[in-house]
Amino acid sequence: MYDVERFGIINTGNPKHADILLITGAINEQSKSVVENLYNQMPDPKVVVAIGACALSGGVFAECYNIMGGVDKAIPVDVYVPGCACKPENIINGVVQALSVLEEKHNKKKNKSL
Amino acid sequence: MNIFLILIAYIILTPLTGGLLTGLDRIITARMQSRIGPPLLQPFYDVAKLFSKENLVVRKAQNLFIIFHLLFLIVTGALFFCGGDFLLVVFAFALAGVFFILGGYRTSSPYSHIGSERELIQMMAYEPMLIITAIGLYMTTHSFNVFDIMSAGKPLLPQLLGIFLGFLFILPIKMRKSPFDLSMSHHAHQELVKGITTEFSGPTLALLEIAHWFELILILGIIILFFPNNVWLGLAVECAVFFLVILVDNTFARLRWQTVLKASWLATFILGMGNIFILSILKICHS
Repeated sequence: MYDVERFGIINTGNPKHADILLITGAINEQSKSVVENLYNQMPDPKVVVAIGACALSGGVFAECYNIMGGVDKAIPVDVYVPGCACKPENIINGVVQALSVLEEKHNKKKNKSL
Repeated sequence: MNIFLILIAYIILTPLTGGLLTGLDRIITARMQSRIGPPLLQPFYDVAKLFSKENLVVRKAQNLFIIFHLLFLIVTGALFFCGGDFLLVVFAFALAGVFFILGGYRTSSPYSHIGSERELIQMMAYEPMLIITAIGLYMTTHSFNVFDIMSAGKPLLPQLLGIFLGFLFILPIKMRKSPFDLSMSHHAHQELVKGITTEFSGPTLALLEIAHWFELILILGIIILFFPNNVWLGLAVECAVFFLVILVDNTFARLRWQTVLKASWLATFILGMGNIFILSILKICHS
């Protein structure tokens, strides 16, 4: 059983409760505004993790007429997790790396306000 | 002076025990699902993190209502643990719940509105049982005062068995557990049932979490009232009840609101009213 809650992480569907956004697919014209909207609804500080070849660069769909490319075409990505398909251990590793990025962003925010 | 000491101890100890119990709950739940689960202090880390987050607000009033929700829960608990009137505790508790619902309604999200409606239905489901508990305690000890009830000197459980069971029945509603977790479940983070908290983020969400700790301790405190002559037995029963609720939470599916309302009113009527009926009959026989 793969359990991210042992790192204190809970899988939530609500962007307003979230710190880390996982995206597993490529971006097209239709999904771009949805992804941007979700990203903007998350309270700062926040981290984005792109999971899988499609989310990284568009993968095998990169040359399709409707695909714009990876997630970083729409929103800033902090952690890239390669693989097609990704192993669950890799995803957990990526999320744990995202935690340290989150910590860094949090410290930066604190220093700015001081 | 004594009351002030109790008050200070209450305000310091309640969030601590509430948070620890929540952490324990998360570990036990994870073990029941054959997972490892978070560290024991995770709820405190979560709250600390939420306070450092940005507070996204739809309407400013929503946060005000949540602050009042927390304040009235603290006042309710203070009334209870400082030996106030139990009937007043029940009403102040209801008022705190109303502020939560108002906060949910203040945001314009449809998810939040559905959550608020469900919270209102849940209040209708558990409120009669709380009042019957107060009546039952009055009939056996001739006082609504919490300290008077606690100094009754006789076990109340044999006389109030029905009311105790009825109270256990509505316990999952207030502890936000299956099968009665319609408006703010502990687990369903991806679903509509997390509804009422949808529009709350950052520090306000942290306040909600702390409010839930106060709620939990108050609800568990009421259980001790049934064991006035032996507090340790009361605490042991409390641990058993806490475990039982988590077990039920992990074995039962969520029910629909119609079933929740019908089942809890039926339990209130049969166990609660039945118990009061028997108590009155006994009283008439004695006199």
